[in-house]
Amino acid sequence: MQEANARLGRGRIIQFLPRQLFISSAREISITNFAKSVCSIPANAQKVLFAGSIRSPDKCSTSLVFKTLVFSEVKEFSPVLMTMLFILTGCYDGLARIWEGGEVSECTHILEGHNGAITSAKFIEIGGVGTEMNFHVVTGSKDRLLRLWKCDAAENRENPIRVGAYKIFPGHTEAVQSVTVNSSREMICSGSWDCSIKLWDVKDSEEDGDGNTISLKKRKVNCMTTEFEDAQSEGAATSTLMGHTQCVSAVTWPDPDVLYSASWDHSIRQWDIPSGKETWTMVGGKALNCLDIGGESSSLVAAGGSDPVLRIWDPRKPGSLAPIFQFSSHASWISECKWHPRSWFHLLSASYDGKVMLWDLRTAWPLAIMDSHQDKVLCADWWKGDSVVSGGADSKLRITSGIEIE
Amino acid sequence: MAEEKHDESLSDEAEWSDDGVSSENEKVEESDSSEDEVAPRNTVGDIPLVEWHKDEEHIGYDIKGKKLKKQPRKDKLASFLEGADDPKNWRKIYDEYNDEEVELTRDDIRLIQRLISGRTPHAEVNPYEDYVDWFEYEDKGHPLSNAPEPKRRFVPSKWEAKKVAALVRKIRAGLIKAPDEPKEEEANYYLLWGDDTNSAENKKRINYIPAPKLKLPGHEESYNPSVEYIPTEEEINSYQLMYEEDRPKFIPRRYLSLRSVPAYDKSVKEMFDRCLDQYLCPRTRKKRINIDPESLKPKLPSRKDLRPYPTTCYLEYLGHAGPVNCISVDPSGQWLASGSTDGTTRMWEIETGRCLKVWEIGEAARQISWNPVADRPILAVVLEYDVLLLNSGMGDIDIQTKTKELLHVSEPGATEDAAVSWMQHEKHDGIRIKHFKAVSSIEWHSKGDYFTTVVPTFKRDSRAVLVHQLSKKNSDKPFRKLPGIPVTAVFHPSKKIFFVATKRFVQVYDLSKGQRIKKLETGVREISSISVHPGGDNLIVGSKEGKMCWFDLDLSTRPYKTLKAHSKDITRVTFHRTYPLFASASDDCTAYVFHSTVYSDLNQNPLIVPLEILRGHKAEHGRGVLDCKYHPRQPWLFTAGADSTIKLYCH
Repeated sequence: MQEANARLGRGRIIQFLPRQLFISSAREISITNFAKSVCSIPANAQKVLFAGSIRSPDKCSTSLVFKTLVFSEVKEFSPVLMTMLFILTGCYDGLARIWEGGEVSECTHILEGHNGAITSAKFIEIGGVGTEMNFHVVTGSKDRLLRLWKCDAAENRENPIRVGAYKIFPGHTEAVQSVTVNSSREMICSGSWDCSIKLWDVKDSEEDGDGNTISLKKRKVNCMTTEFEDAQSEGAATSTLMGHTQCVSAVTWPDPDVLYSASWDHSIRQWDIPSGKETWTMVGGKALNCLDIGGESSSLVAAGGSDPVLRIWDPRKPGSLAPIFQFSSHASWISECKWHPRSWFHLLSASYDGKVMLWDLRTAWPLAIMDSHQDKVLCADWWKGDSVVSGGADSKLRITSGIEIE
Repeated sequence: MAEEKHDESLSDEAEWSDDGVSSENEKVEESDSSEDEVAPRNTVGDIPLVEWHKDEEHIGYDIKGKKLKKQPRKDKLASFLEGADDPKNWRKIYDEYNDEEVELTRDDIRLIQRLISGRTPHAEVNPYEDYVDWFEYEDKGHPLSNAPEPKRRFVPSKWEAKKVAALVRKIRAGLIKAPDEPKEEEANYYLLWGDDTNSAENKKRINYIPAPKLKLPGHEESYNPSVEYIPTEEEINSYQLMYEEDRPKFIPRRYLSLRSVPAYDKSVKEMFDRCLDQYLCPRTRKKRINIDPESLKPKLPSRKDLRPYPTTCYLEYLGHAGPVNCISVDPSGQWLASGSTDGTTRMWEIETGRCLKVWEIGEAARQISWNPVADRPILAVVLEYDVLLLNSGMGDIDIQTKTKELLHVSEPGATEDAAVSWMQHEKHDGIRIKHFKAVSSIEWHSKGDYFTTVVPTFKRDSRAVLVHQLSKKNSDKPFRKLPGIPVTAVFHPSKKIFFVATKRFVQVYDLSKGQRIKKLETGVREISSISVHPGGDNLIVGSKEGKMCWFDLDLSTRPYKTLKAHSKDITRVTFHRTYPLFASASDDCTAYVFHSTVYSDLNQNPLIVPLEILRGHKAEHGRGVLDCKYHPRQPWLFTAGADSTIKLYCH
């Protein structure tokens, strides 16, 4: 990590020092790029190294609460991408953005099309040959739709590219709250306020350009006549999992056959995908906001919700629905919890008290408290294995790096 | 030999008499008592010398007060040898009192020998002198009876023998026991000032209460008390200002000596008063009920068992610039609408606390209410004279088009007596229903088509309660006469029953017949808010004096329970739709959460348990919490405060 000492005026277009994303001793760097996104770096904390505050050109600074989701598991795909790390954010202004967190940390793509706030976004796939790179991105929004996007990340352009969705998934009757992708990158799962979980096929629809594809596994189709821009196709849900009685706030799909969902009806359910049946149900006492599967042999369930306690259950334990770990250092609702992609013991949690905490299962106290947001932290994720990205209600996306996980 | 000895002893005695009282000859003449002959050297008196002077060097004091030294004691061997040599030893006696050896004279010996043999001590005395008959009987006649003694006086009595035999038999049979040995009497001490109410003697007597003891004298009653006990002049003067009963009875004073203490002038009066007290005031035992006050409390279940219920504030909805008058939660539980005195109505996302939408109305919203049907995302907002029906913009396109149709008034209409007129609100694309007077409350019917507004006017005005139909856009006056000024009105959740709260009563109407069924007597001064249990058989009433009444409609027209919880006006009472909870918000900046189980068994009364006091709002211009609403699906409570915040309390 090389030190740089810079103090730059606002409104100037500057280039970051090549290959130096993290600058630790600078007092503040303000950058206004062409998309009028302002990046400011407060350097008072050693760990907070990059922070972005985005003002969208059309809506100024009024309605900008972030909802971000971050994709960072680059290692699985291609060694070419090792240096290129992208961050996908979904925002309350209805736009999803892709940030290149590599050498030029700036917004590369703006995905526009949603009429409501984006509640959830995920990378489906990053692929490409040589210098050509493609993202496949899915977003879920409060306008009841899921959208698929395809972006080209190869070129270095001056302006962020505005991208439209190539496919929409109508079907939910209420706002979509959560979206996840299965490990084979072919299926998408979404949880919604209409209490249902729907599964969608990605690949199928991609081949079939006309849309209205009907899968063999399809159980329920909710067709909606909606007018959209050209070159958009519609897909239908391959299956619908009913069982929750309230908003499905989080879904994860760690295994091709097993899906986990958390809901405001205080329950976590495990679904068997081929049969579409519930295999395990855990009813806690609180409405749940987030869920993640990880830990020892990727089987522990971490969930947080409408109280300041992060709880971890072991679904393999028979006959017991008591959490095996409880972490209660937060002061408000927990908005996000994520296991470390490689460690069995580490996970992070984000809370409405503005803090992101790093936990080790072997201790009762947080390993680190990242107090970087002024307002609620709405989402957080691991990035590159040693960094944490978090988005908050203060319209800022923050990256905290240098977290050592042994 | 004995004679010689006697002489010697005489000479000895003569010697002693020099420092004694008198000479031996005089003594003989005066008295023959041998004790007087020898004046005792020791003057200590009749004390146990051996014990008391055992360890002393002296045995006593002579007449002049000098100590009499003990003779050196000879050891036993020496004294034995001496005695063996001395032929006179057999008549020597040791006088312990005077610590000397006395040699008995011949007379003494003779006297002793006579005494031993049982004769008179002195040889000169003749005990058997001849009887001298001093009387003469010759002319004096005879004694009373001259008969010889009868035989029976010499024969043992047969009668007595029988008596004795009978006693012996009884003794042998154990009927007569020998009297017990007299017990040694216990020392009869008792505490003079002790509390003897429980003493053994008093316990024998039932209901005897000994007289109370007098107060013990303290230091202040001393003749020379310490300075701090003596009142100053000012204190003595201040006693004069006190009531006579409160004045101290005794004022401590100082005397130089005990002699100069005068007689206590009030002693007779005080003793007399005490006697009067004891005689005129009979002492009785008061029967005090000894019940543990805890056991008198009604047995309520533990709060832990009644979870979940809202306890902690985790989320705040900030943005209003003035007191938030009213809030309402969307039936799906996703959105919250609030109206404030700052002229705006806002819509919030419950999950994150983000303000989604702001309607700049320009007038303070008094009441706000979501349409309870999910596919009619319509908000009803009460302004001063108007009721606005706004499109919240939720729902998909189908719903939106339907809602827009519903919220379109093609031709502005009014009722005959101009109580209400319907018109289009251009700015916010909704309906404006203009009333003839200020509207106080609004309530939707559970089907979502009808809603009622209450206009508090004068008595017996039929226009006071209005029922509006959204789909036909007309208004109706269901009641000809109302017995008071209505405050608020609610629909029954399932039946065609309508509740109208006037200031002190709740009138229950049957809507199908248009008749009054019941009149609930609340007993409060002014009703501020009512809420119907989702089951429909129970009703809570909040009043402006802080009281809450629970009515069981099947039970009585009087409150089943009245809860006095708040110190200021209750602004809102509300039931939870699914959980057995209700809450009250008040101007004393608190909201109370109660548990209420309503049993389906008609014989069982509802269970009401106070659970939690929710604090957190600040008072603003004397107002505290202005509204409270439960989340429709979660056990969460929203409170709107005069401090322009909305808080969400979660479990």
